[in-house]
Amino acid sequence: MARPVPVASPRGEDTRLSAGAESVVVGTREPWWAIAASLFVAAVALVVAVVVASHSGGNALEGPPAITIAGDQFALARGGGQASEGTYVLESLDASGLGIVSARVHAFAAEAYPRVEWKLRGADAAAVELSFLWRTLEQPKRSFRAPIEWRGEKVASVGLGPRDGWSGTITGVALVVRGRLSQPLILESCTVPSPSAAAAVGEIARQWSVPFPFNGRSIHLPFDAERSNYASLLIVIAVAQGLATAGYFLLARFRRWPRDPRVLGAIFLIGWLVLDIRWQTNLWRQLAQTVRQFAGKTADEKHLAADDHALFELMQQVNGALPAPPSRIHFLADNRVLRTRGAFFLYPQNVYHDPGRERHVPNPDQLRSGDYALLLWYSGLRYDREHQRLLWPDGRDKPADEILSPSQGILLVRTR
Amino acid sequence: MRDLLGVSLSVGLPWITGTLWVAALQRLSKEPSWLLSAGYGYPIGALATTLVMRTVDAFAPAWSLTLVAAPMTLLAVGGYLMGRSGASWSDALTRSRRAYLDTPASLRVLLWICTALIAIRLAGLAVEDALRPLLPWDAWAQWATKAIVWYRYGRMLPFVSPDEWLATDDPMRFMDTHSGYPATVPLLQVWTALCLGRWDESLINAPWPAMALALGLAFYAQVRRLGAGPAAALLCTYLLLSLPFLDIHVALAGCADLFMAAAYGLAAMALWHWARARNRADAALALIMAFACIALKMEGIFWALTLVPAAIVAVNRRLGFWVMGLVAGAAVLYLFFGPPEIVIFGYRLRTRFANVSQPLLEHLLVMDNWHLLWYATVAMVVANYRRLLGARLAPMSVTMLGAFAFVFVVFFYSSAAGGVDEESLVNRLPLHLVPALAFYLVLLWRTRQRSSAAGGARVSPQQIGP
Repeated sequence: MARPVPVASPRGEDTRLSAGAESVVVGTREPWWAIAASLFVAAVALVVAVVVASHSGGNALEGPPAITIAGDQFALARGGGQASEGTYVLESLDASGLGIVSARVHAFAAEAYPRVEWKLRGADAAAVELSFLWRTLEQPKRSFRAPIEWRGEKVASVGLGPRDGWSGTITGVALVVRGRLSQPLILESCTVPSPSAAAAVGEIARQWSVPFPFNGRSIHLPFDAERSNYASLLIVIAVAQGLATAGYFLLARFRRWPRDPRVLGAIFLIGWLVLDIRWQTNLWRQLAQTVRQFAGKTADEKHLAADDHALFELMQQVNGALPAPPSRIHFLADNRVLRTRGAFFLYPQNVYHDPGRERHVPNPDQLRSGDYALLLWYSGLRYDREHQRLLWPDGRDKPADEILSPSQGILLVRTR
Repeated sequence: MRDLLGVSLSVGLPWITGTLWVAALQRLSKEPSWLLSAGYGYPIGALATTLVMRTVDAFAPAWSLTLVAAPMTLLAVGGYLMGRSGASWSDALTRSRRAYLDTPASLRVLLWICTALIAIRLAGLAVEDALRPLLPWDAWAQWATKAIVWYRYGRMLPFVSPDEWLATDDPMRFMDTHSGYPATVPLLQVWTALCLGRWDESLINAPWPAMALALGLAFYAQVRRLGAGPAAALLCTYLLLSLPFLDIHVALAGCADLFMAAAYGLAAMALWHWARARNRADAALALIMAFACIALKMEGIFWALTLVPAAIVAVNRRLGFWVMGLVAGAAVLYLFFGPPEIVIFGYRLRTRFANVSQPLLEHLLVMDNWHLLWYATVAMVVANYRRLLGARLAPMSVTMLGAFAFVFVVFFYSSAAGGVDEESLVNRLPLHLVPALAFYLVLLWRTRQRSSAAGGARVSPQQIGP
């Protein structure tokens, strides 16, 4: 067994090492972990200060008041929709695939507000492209435009500056929607937050403590909500660690300390722990939510408590109208998510659904005698009740008996 | 109570069987590790369970719990008989106890803190799994679909392509979004349902937290074999198991990516230990886990292939580098002279570069998906670049090089670029290499530490390593 090794420090201090250690130098009065923690905290404070300064709008404690336009203050310019309970529900786009809602605002100076936030929900984010339009007092006949990066999160944020045309006096704002709306887009509000250092600190604290609830996209994008952060916590920690490391090397050089890798290791671990404490807290919050939502329930009750319970209930109705498995079912829906998820609720029935992104229209001969066809908001086929036939747009048809029609747009038939 | 028994049986029987067989394999090694046996035991036992189920499916009209559990029990007994060697196992336990007693008191505190952090994390994730119905798209669109059908009909009914489904009127030929995907993961869900005696969309996910625990045990044991002390090894294990994207794949169970990551990581770790010590037990473990990669996902064959250069480099470094050079040269030639598009295992390989670096960098370095893993990777590789292709690290380095090359080609030169751009793939493929990468970083750290010590270096973090 190796004997403890006394090692002299430049200041004449020495530390007796435990058995098995190769060698250790301790050359400071302060413990290595205290040096690491101090440097890390100082570096984080510095980075946060820079982020705060860049979002303060030059105001220290108080900036101009925030401006909020509730969804129901918007008016429809293109497409179809209506105001409802404080929101605006954009239900459809026009023939060119365009929807616009706009609102007048009390005139405000663009320079004082570098950021605009849109609270949205509903529509499939992948199928639409959003833009923010605004008008100014100085150029009333011109509209300025900035793209909104929205991937389904609740708040879509747009940072703006003079180079985007965000200058002068703003008099009106609008939301432009292009693409396909398979379900309505709900605009809750448009907010122009107040910029100041104090507000930026509060906003950063809110952004870093916001929960990341599990949803269908979490398996790919658990931290989607971080996109709208001024600076992600990871970036701040990483930059701070870089600064702390550089600071330590400088300190070691000027104070003639020998470099101690434990300080670097500690800087790394402290940063990791900060990130992981937030993540563990998020997991606990999510677990509490999961317990509230699903604990003590049967499998069916869990589906009834889930977000897509309406589809599950509908599929239960469909299942009830089908004979014992395996029946062959063509699940036809324009919306890919609806047909894929709906089909899952029907297994172990023998269910077909097109896995492609686009709508698939089967040929009449692919619907065999005895096959079922479930039409769920499907525009590829129609059913002629009077003549009991499925009709194709090109005039072809197939005799079929109606089995179930729980509501408009939903139909289960059995081909003859 | 019945559910608890069912879940315990579904996890316990494969785990015990696999552990006994890995222990039997380890009779060939000088210093067998019971934690290594337990860590590799679950994935190997789970794989064995699915092979038994395939065999039963071929010869019996339908599965039953007895028909699958009986051969598994026999396998467990066989493993026990093969591995009986009381002396070496009591030695292993003595070594573990001594290592703990030799750990300074302050590091024992660290050890227990890490144990508590890991236990809290895994327990929470397991409860999440036990309560939540399947949530991820892939879980209910292409994996559990097969499990539901096979469980309800008691056998592996064929899943065919959409075109084949439309062309037939056979009611016993099914389809889902990826009918051709391997059967291993759905079979594990069927096995769990057989043990439960019913289909439960939450409890069939018991293999996911079990796999996470097994990964942790195996990782810890393999890091210990590098000479790290118990506290340091447990700290490394905590760092691996705390990665948010890995945790997400445990919490939102149902996809095969966690299994793929564990299988590839365990294969790479065993291979690298074989490269160092030429222990036949390591070679066997590496081969079994490489086979598991192939059995789990379509791309598993490519992951398994990235292990081949390491084996060649381990045998003959010069030859290995030549082989790597030839492969890289062939890839460059293909880019310039190859057809614009070829299809391999359902993936379209293209010569046209698709720049997806923006979402990739955003997900690896800006969002908290991986904590500081990728920053640490860059720092460690830069700090150790002179050692990477040295005799000690070359086999490991070429494995990681192959793994990163695979990810690079898939992301930048294949049809999967769309998935990266839409962000559905951007983290999932890297997840597969992350346990191996984590072990590689530990290797770099240990190699650097040894080099520093050998060179009379200034400092060694002795408190977190022997």
